[in-house]
Amino acid sequence: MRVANRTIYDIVKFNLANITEELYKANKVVASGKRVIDLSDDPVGLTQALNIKSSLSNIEQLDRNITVGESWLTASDSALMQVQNLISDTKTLCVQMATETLTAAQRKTVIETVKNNLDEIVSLANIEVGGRYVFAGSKTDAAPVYYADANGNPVNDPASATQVLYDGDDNPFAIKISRDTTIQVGQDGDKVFWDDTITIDATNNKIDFIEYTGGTPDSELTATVQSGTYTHSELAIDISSAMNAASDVNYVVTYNNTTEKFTIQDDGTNSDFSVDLLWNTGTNAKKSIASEIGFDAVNATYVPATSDSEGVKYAIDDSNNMIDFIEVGIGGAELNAAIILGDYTGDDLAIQIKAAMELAGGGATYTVSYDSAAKEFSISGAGGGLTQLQLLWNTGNNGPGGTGTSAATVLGFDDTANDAGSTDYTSDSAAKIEIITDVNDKIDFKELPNGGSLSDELTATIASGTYTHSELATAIKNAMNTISDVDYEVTYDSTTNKITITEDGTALDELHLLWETGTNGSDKLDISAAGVLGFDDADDDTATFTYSDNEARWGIFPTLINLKNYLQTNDVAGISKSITKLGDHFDHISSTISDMGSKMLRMEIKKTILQEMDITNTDRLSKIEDADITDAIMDLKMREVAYQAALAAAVRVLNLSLVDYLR
Amino acid sequence: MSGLGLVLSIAKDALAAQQYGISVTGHNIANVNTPGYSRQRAVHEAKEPAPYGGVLLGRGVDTAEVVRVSDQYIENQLMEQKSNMLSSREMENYMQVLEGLFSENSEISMSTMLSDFWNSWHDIANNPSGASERIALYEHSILLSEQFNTLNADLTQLETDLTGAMGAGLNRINQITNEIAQVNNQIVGTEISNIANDLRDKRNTLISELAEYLDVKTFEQSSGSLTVVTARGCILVDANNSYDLELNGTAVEWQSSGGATVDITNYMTRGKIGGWLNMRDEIVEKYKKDLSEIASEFIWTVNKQHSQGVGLQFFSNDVTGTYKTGSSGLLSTLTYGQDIDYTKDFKMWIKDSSVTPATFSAATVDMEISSASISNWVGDNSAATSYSYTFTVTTGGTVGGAVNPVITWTKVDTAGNPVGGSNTITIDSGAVQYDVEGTMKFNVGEGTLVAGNTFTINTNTDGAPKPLDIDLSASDPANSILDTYKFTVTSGGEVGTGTLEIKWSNSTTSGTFTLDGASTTAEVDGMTIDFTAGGYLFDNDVFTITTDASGEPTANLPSEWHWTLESFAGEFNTQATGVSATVTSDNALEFSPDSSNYSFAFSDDEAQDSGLMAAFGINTFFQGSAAGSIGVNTVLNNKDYIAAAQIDADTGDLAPGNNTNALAIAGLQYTSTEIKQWTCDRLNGNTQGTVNATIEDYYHAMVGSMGIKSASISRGRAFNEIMVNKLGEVRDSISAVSLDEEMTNLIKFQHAYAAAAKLISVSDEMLNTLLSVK
Repeated sequence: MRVANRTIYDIVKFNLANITEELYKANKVVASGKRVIDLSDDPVGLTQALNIKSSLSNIEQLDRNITVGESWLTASDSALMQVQNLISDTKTLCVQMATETLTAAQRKTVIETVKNNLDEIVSLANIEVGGRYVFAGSKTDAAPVYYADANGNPVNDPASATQVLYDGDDNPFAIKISRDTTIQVGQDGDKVFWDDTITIDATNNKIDFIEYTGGTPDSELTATVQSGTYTHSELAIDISSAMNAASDVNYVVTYNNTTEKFTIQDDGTNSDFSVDLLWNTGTNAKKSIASEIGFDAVNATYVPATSDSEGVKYAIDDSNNMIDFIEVGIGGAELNAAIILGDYTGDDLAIQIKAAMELAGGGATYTVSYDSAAKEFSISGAGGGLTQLQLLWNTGNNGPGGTGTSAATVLGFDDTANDAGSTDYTSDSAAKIEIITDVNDKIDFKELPNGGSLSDELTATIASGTYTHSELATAIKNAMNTISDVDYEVTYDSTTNKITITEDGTALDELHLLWETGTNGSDKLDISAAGVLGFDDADDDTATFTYSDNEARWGIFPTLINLKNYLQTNDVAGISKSITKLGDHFDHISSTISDMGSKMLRMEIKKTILQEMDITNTDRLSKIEDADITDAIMDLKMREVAYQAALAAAVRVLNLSLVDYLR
Repeated sequence: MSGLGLVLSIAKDALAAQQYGISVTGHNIANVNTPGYSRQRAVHEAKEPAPYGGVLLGRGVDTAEVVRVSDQYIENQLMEQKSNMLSSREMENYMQVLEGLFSENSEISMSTMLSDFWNSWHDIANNPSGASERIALYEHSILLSEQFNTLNADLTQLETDLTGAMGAGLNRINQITNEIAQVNNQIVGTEISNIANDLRDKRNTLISELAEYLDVKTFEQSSGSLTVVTARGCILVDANNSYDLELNGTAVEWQSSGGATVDITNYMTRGKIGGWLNMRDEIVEKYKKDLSEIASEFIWTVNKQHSQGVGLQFFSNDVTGTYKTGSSGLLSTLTYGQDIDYTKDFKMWIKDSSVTPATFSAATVDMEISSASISNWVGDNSAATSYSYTFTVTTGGTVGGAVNPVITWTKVDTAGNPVGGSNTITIDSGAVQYDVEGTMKFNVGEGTLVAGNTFTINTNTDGAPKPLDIDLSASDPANSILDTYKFTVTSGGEVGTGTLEIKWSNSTTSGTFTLDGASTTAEVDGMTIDFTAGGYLFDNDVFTITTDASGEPTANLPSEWHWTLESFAGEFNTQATGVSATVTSDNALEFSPDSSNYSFAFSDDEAQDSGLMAAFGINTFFQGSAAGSIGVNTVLNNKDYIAAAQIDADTGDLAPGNNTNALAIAGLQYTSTEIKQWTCDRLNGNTQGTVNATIEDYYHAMVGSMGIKSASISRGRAFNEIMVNKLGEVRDSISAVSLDEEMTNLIKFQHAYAAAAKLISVSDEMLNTLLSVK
């Protein structure tokens, strides 16, 4: 091939340029120690490198998170260990103090120790990490546990405090330890320092009570709650079974989650009945369960508001007292029997119907019976030439098309059709009670809330209409709830035919039903619903409700405060009770400590894993990004040598020319 | 002629010829280093013999011509390869600039900043009430948004620089074509008699330089002039005429002699201009758009979670949203309007500090869209005038259910002024007609009517209600996915009868179309929209069409149930005590406490949030919607409003140690969402796809693809360089000067010249001998 001078110069230029470029790149690699500098050096490797860097940053952050978490857990752990020690010390003290041989004076000397232990536990509960309270849930800016008086207001002087309350919330502080996992490192102080179970044993399992029937007391009864560990609701069930075992009366004991109080009442079937709970004067008062369920050591009385012995009655008024009938075979004309007005039990009403029909009739004899289970009346006629009895519920003079005063609805007969073709008839449906405006629809009452004063008279107006017995209970409830802020619960028991008015809650101490002295009572307007509801309107009824005086909270704080009081009053039985309780609290805190322990272990493990991942990722990153120094230097050396050779060759070539050889 | 005279003549010719030879050799030697020079050769021919004395005698030598030794085919090949190489070289240069912008080796790399951002949220989760963590987060976020802004600005600047380089390039091109035309003229003139060797060389050099800039094809005419043609067959040089290229904004246009222009921007593929255009319109454009998509998705994801949380205080001052709707108030016109989940709710907690302890109340708005359809509009409003009626559900409920829903309506005239007061319609069972006014009636189907929903109906000039109806069933997918097209009527009228002009815009493009007389179909960005005849539109009416991930369009008509800012504010005000909602004059939502006793905060740990507050821009972390506009919400200047906590649904209060929202936001680092990805092609237009990835993964992949592209361009350039060199060698082996050759030639001609001179002296002696005969 013909090679021009230019070609040689160009090729030399081109090749030298290439070599210098390679040399430059090799130099950059050695100087920076990195294999990948620009995006284009190794794009796939670079993307991996970026992902790895992101992971590394993440790992470091998670490590920091775990460190924060560990500091919280360590702080809570050591605080709770201290609390356990204090509980243990107090328990030992109690065992000593429970010895019968010590005097009251000696017992008084340890009150100060107990007080100090309480203060110490309160301050441990308010422990902080970095200015944030560990046991406060997510309200970490304020001390969660504080001394308060009986109304719940905070007090500065612990000596005047009657309780210790919790002001945090139930969202414990959590940290993220991995992509998908968070661990709670804070605590909900409520769950740590207050127990939700209690141990009942021989020191606190007795209930003494006296039942009054018709005002006369029976002998003292003692219920023994079975020993064991209970939650609030379980305890309520067991208390009622214990009381039922001791007495014929059925008791219902419930625990209200919102107010944290227990309510003791009967099942609503007993009238003229009340019970005294002898928390103070009972034979076993020292071993009573009173303080566990929030009762003070003062006798409590329960008087239910239940219908008196005759129960709910039917109201016969001149709007519903007529029965139209035809005695076929004796006469043919329509006869109208008028039941005498009044409030009757079912059986009494049956007698009245019989009397009214025989009076209006023409000689037939009537048998009227009342089925109290089904609430149905049966009317049969016989004798006197009667071939058929027709009851003109629909077409009679007093039927719906006439004066509208037929007794059909009240007696349970369908007034859209007459009954004919036989001599015996039974109610089509359950007999109903009619509430008539300004006749028997008013209930006057006064409320005495706990810690308050008797309210002014309130009047509930039951909506007029005909009701089945259970519908009547609902109507009464609606009427009373409309007029009062208190939530009432009204129940009807069909076996005993009685209505009971109770409160759905724990706000009222007493409910006064003013059947006699109320504005609509028997002394004045006499339009109260007493008769229909089965209450005796000759006098007022006062119902007393029994529920815990204080919230039934179980925990180290109430126990220690009570213990102080037992030591003060030299109540050995009380001190014995405290021993069991302190044991419970110790166990409860142990479970929290072990929970924290397992969390700390998890975080330790996680930390180790993160450290290993850190190393692995850094290693991978280095493999991708960093240059192998030996390779890089060898590469640089090689290119240097190549460059030198190329330069030498170029010089040789460039110097040759024919011109030099021409003379 | 006589013998001796002939010899002298031969000698004279010989001298001349050898002298020419030496001149040509001298010319070659002088031009040994001239680029683009083809060596020349004097062609000596023997003269025609003439008869003399019965024999044919040669008469010497003649210099027939001087020729260039060159192969035009190789020259053309070389030009083409050079064109390619320079295109790659320019792209490589600018790719390195681009790589430098996204460099991952410096402290300000984007992926380090993203990592730092997520880590700051972890730190806040570890200490939610701490002030230093909040300040750190705030500062990191400012740096991050500024980095987005800077990258966006740098990319835009790169595009401007490329356009500037193109401008300078086009100027040079115009100069060259002008010169080529002049040289053409000279060559045509000269070649009437001789080959214009040097002029051709000069022209070749010019063409070569032209090819460096853009793709050209050349054709030589029989007259010797060269026609130069570029992309799309546009002629640059024809005989002695040259045609200019001009930069019009960002497009390259060819100017014809008649004044018409042809846009050849997308057809220029080679040369520097091709390289610059590829960089600007395909590469930089793609990365700029992708960067904006990351920013947009990042803003929405963080804002949506942040707006569900609460900081260390309730808001006690007015709070205005950062996003606006436009005068129609339609929620679908908000920037993130199509991300609102209407199946979920809106909830606000209001704190009343006038009592101690403070009380908390919740205001909830059910954000659903009513399922009871409105249809069968008949009658007229008996005023025989065009009004726009707005119907809003003021009492919600199920049609035929326990509570009768109530619809309240108001009307405005064509200028937007309210007419009359408001009136109510109670819906008490389904499938019965309801009166509005005059004889105007409509049916309500079965289903729910949600309080706050609204719709509008226009009446035509006869007073008859004519709702707008659109059929998209026959439409192809739109070009823009996951986007909202906003249509504004610039000139209204009745569809099918009048002439309507409607302008439309989406997040990237806009346009207009006209519905004229019977023509009721419009082609908009790939969609075919069928307007049903009869609908009546006023000026400034707005409706939207949203597209899903595959481009399928769905219409949001004003005559169907929807939410507007006004209707939401109205419904909110009926639900809330202590805080009022108003619509500001620039169409954003504002919440104001009624007195200094009231303060408010959003959502809680049990609420199902619809994303409404994030779409309004209230209680959000970022503001803006793209890489150029992203910034930290100015409300967060008070760091207490950084929402690390969530309100406790049981109490309505916030707790300073609650870190639920911070943990949730930190978790967003790992959540994948649908992010749009662009492919920019100059000939086929820009298309979008979606990819499901986390923000970081998408960014890493983007940077990786940049690296791959850069590496492949570099390799391409290296390959092209080798090709150019190889062809250069071939060309030089034919046309370049070799000094050795020329030296030899020099000796050759020198000896020949000496010999010819000797001939003259011999002839001279012979003549002298003849003359001295006595």
